[in-house]
Amino acid sequence: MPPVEAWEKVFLNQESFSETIHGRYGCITCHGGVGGTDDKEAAHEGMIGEPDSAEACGDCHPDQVAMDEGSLHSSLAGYTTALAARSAPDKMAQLEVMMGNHCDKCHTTCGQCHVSRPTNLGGGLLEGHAFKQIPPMNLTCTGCHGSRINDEYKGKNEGVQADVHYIQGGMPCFTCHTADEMHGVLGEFEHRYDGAPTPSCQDADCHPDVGQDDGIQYHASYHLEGLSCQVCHSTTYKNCYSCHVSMENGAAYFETDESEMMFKIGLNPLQGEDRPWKYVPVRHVPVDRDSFSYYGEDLLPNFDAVPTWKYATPHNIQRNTPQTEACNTCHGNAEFFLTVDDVAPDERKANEDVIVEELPFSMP
Amino acid sequence: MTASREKHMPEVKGLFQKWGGMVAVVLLLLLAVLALGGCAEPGTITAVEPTATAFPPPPTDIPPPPPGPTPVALDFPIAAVTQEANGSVDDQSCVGCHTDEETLKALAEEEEVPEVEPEGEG
Repeated sequence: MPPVEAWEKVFLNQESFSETIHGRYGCITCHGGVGGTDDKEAAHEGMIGEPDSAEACGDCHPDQVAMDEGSLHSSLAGYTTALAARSAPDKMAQLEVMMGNHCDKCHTTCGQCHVSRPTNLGGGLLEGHAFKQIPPMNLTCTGCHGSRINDEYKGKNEGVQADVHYIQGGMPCFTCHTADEMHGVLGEFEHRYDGAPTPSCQDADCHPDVGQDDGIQYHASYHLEGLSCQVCHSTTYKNCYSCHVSMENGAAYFETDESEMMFKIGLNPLQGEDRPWKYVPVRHVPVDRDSFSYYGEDLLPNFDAVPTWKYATPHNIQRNTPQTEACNTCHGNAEFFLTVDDVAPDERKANEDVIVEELPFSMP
Repeated sequence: MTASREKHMPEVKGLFQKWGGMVAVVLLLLLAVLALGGCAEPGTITAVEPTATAFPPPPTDIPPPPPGPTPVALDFPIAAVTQEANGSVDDQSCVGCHTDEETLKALAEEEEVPEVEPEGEG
């Protein structure tokens, strides 16, 4: 994403801000600072660049602000949950320091979606401080969800088509990921895959008629019960490895090994009432045993408690994929399955619940 | 009797004509005097001491002011505040600077972020 110059980040558009309802509250109401002076230093004394959601927005949008505090975008609870599962209570203090340096810039206030680009991108006003009821996906959503989701969805991975919902449907993120989901209205979750799939492919306005009697050959058999939609309808996606974080010259820094484009079907680590399928795509996440060793020794003592190949919902959905070409593309073919040979020896214990040991039988 | 009346009638008419003419001349002279009197210099105006204005005594029993409006829960959406109502007139200096591209270019300072590029995809 192109960088924004310092002046442009704070350039105010008279029409898009000052003459709107938010503009009538003026600058100081939300940002503090000192009015009535032309001196830059004096004017910015006590100024808050990114106002707190509750203080700036809560008076007029009390319901949204109250709910949003429990949303994953605001609380980053998903990070904490994932780290806690591999760590131990006495290690969490050090990990919280790590999160403060490396993760918190992905935390979103109201303004970081509706007014400016996220801190992760260096900030900068959207359209001269216009309040965007629907945040522009290319400046906000993909500012954080860039290297995997954005590249998959828009077809930026070489040789892999864009998601059909994007290239044919022209659907921006919020078509599926609604304001209720973003604002935590659907419930207070500890991880993004908690609860029923949201959004779901079979939501009312999407594909509610998919079923065993819908006339599609593969839907008529076990596939709908045993496979998540993405097993057949997503394709090659990015897998990342060995991320290590540190601080260099006061700046947060990370280093990862080269990523790999693969498509792997594994056993469903989240199998249950809400996600009943036996098989799902699994993606390697960049965590490593010593990812956070800069902050202390052995901060992930329970590293093997959670797979490194994780339940995935790739965003490159196609009607037809290599998996749908023929039965034996999958049946009896180890290429698309996560077998023990695909997993690094050091991570086999962590992934024993997702490694496919017995392939589906070949079709005659 | 009738013959006597008819005999004295001319005398009575003569008397009326004689006295009526005199009355008319007197009235004209009186009017002329009055008209000439208006052109005469006014007489001296004598200053009169002002009389004190009588005010009613101040009330000793002042009634309490009427009660103020009772705060009520806000129903949204509410009307937008005006700048005057919000007392944000001072914001004009903020707006003035932040809408002036040339001023911003001259005054804006790049944050000094240490140049440490990550290695690998985030």
